[in-house]
Parts: sequence; C-alpha cells; structure tokens
Amino acid sequence: MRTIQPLALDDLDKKILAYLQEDGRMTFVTLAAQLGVSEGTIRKRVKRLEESGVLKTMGVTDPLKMGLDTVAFIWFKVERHHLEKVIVALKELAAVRYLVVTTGGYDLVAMVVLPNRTQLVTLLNDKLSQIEGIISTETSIVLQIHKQIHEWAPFKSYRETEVSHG
Amino acid sequence: MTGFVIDEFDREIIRLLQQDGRMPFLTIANQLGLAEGTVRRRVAKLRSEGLLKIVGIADPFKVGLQTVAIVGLKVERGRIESIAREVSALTEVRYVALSTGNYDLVIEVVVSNNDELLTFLVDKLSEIPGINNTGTSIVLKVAKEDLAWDV
Repeated sequence: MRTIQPLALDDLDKKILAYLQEDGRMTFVTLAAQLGVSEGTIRKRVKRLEESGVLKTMGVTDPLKMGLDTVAFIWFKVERHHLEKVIVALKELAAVRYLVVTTGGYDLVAMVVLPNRTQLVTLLNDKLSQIEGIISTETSIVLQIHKQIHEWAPFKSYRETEVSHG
Repeated sequence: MTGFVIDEFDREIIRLLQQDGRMPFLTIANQLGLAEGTVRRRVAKLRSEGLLKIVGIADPFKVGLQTVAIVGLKVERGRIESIAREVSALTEVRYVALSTGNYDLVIEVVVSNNDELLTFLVDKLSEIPGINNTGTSIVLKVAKEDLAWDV
C-alpha cells in the first residue's frame, strides 16, 4: 500500500464524491452545474482526489453475471508470527481480489473470484496448503450477490437531488 | 438473470473501463477499431442490463470512515431472501451475498467508528427478525483490493 498524506476533505469534495460514486462518468460540466462552481474547479478537485488516492473511478461488474461462476469468502486462522508472510503469499494469488486483516474469530478474510468450482478446489487444496502458517480455513461460497455498492451513507446526504437507481 | 449475451468487444470495453472508468469513448473506440457511437451504445447497454457499473470508489479509510467490518449471519432458512432484502436496505451495508458454508449471508459494513458499528449491530441488525447468530470480523487493514477481475 502506498503511504499518502491524509487529505482534508471539505464539503465540496464530499459533494463531488457523492455524485461520482453514483455515476463515475458524470461530466465535469454537469457536476459544475449541479454544485454551482466552475468546471475548472471540479477538474482540479477531482485531480487532487485521484492523486491523493482517495478516489478511483472504474468499471465494476457483477462477477456472477459475467460468467465468473465462483465467488467465495475464505476465513483464515493464521499463526501470528507467520501473518505477514501469509498476507504476502495470498496477495500474489490472482484469484484473491480482496484481502483484509481482521480481529475476531479469524485473522484474515479473503474474497476470491474464479471461473469455476474446480479452480476453487485447486486453490484450496493445492495453493493454500502450500502456504506455511495457515492453521485452518472456512469457505463460504457465494450463491447470489444481493448488494454491491461503492457509495456509503455519509456522502449520500451531500447530493442535493436524489439520483434514482437503475 | 438477464438473457443479454455479451461478446468479445463488450469484454474489451469492460477491461478498459476497469483500468479507467473515465476513459473517453473515443479512446476506447480507437483502441478497438470501433466507431465512438458503437462504444457509447454498448456501454449504455451494459449499464442498463446491470452488467457494468461505472463508479467513483472512495477509499473509506481516507475519507473518515474508520471502521469496516465483515459480518457473517446465520439466519432462519425460510427467511433468507427477506432478511437479505432488509439488510441490503441498510445504508451502512455496502455488500450482501447469499452463501453456503458457515454463514448464510456475508455482509460488509462501513461506518465512521466503533461506536457506530456497535449501534449498527445492536440497534439495527438485531431488530431484523430471523437472524440467529452473527460473527463480526473488524477490518484492521486492507491488504489487497482489486475489483478489476478478469472478464
């Protein structure tokens, strides 16, 4: 992870984020008109948000609708002194799309996305078993994604007009 | 489920937008040898079919949302769909999946601090009937987040 100076966000930044979370391709002209500032201001702010690592705009798909048939959460118990090594090894696996270090009953939680169940079996049996320090895993196979959003409550309120979901 | 079938051009367009959601349609068109209007129409179709969303993703830890938790829920079997709907309606929840295994539902919660997480767990989640058991893992660090999976 890059280390970046924390950026103090003002109301305008939060409003910009609120709109772009909903529609990442909203034009700067539209944003400027919505927020009552110049297009140049929007452009500068967005650039600053991107450069400081706060904002990244990207296309996101529902993997299950795209033919990637297997999404799973894997919960890990790990020997404490091997934790960093296990993280490094898991990060290198392409199937691991999201990996977090956690407190609670488990030390790590990973979301994996794979084309089929066979490859999940391979991942669990062949790849994970080679990583030293993993004590145990539990696997939850995702049957259906009910909600997958990238906008969070605190920013929603910064949108003056509620944009309806498609 | 949708009956819409995507082709290789759609996949290429998605791959480019995974890298940069604001890539101009003209740039995409030039890279793929398509007309700009064709790219525009295909993107509109992918978005309206629910296959593609183009979103600005804010790093929660950089915008003052300090607490992220992954919560597994065990629920009464017959109520799983209604509980998934109720949980999805909560604004703190950004991800809800139905799953097999040790939990029936896996959700991700993003809030400002641990107090808000407590309020969420005690006041909101426990208000939903049919949830028998929850396991909460508080995220200490995001080691990897790459939503641009191969399409």
